[in-house]
Amino acid sequence: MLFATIAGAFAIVAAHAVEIGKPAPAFTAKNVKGETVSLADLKDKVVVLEWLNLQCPFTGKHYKSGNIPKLQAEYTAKGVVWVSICSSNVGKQGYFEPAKMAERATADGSKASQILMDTDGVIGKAYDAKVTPHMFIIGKDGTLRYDGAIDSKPSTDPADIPGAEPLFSTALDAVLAGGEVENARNKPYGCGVKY
Amino acid sequence: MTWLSNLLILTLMATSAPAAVRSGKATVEWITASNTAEPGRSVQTAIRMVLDPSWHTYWLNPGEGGMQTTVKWELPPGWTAGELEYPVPKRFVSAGLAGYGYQNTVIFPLRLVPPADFTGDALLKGKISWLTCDDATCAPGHAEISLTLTAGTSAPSPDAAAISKALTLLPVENPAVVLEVAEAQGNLQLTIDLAAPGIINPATSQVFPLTHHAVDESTPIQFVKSGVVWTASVPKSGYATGPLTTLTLLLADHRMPGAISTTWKKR
Repeated sequence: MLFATIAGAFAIVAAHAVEIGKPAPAFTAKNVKGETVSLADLKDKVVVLEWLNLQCPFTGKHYKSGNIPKLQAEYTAKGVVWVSICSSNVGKQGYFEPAKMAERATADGSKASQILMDTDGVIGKAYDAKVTPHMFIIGKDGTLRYDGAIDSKPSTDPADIPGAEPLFSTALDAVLAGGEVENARNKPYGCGVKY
Repeated sequence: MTWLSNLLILTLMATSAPAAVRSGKATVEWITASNTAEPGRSVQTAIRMVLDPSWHTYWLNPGEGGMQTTVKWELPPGWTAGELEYPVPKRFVSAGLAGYGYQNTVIFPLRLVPPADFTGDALLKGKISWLTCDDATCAPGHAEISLTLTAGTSAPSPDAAAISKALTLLPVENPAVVLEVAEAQGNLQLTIDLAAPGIINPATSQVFPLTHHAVDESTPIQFVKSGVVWTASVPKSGYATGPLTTLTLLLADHRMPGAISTTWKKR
């Protein structure tokens, strides 16, 4: 009985763990250089979380086309902190040792502020990150402002990027302009996160 | 044989044999029930996809992850293509995400109509993109496929039987299966009423939601008998925007090869 109550309580917490307008779950993890990064240290900054699997064809579409590197360069220049998080477990697709991960990401053109190793999937599960790429935006006040897709065309074809509705960057522009995000939660597309 | 006749044979093989293309953990081929087509009369063709063991591809509603297959046709002037038709899928959970799709071999029927003045040969082309995944990895497939049809009285090809069987696996709309949907506190209350009794048993049917972003796909839909109707309560999708306006479900009863399709629309 006690066990059932505890399990029930956990489920409720999980269901409400990430909600638009509520505080984004805190996290601390090592980056690919072995340095410790905490969300708490990024207070007063707009933070982007991008779930990363460099071997996933949906992620590949946005790196090899230069789309994500372009967005990373553009928004980090505006003071946004772009955090790529790899929740692939050891031996699963997208997992590399930290040094190798850094090398692969650089080769794919990554201009992320941080690349975090979330090998045990703790951050991914706290945010309920479902796919790669799954995008989140955290406002300067630490509240979640966006949880969804990078754009509106769920495909692996780079030719679809120019015609897609840029859901994520539209949301980020709204956050940077101090406005409301109209489509703050939508279904992300990609490979399942390889927990 | 001279080199010239060898070359001729090779050339003939290259233009007449349907080519199976391998990409993304699958082999795809455009097959036809008849290699000949009559002017102005539809001809039944299909895309056959043979997946590597333990790999799957996706239905029209791919579920929580995955990707729907897309095709771009390049047809000669006057030809028209119908929609690619999807057989009843299976539900699976892969990398923690519920999905709907196919394993092993799947055949997607496609009807084509030649122009009324069709003569000679027609080379039909298409570009098809799909996604295959297993529990650990996803691999996209892209292929340029082609099919040559010749004007003439239609006659069964070696693939005709496989295509006929595939047609029996397609869902069929049945107005005698009446679906009603009500929303209550984040849940969808589904009710099925059968205008003709015994056509299907919803309680023993597998249920697939064709409408995207309607139901939370992490939970399978299970109907139970409730008086004279069948009911199911399912969580609404977290990605639904506003009240639901339509829902199409497939009900696959093990007694039939295909499935019944039923659609509710908000009045």
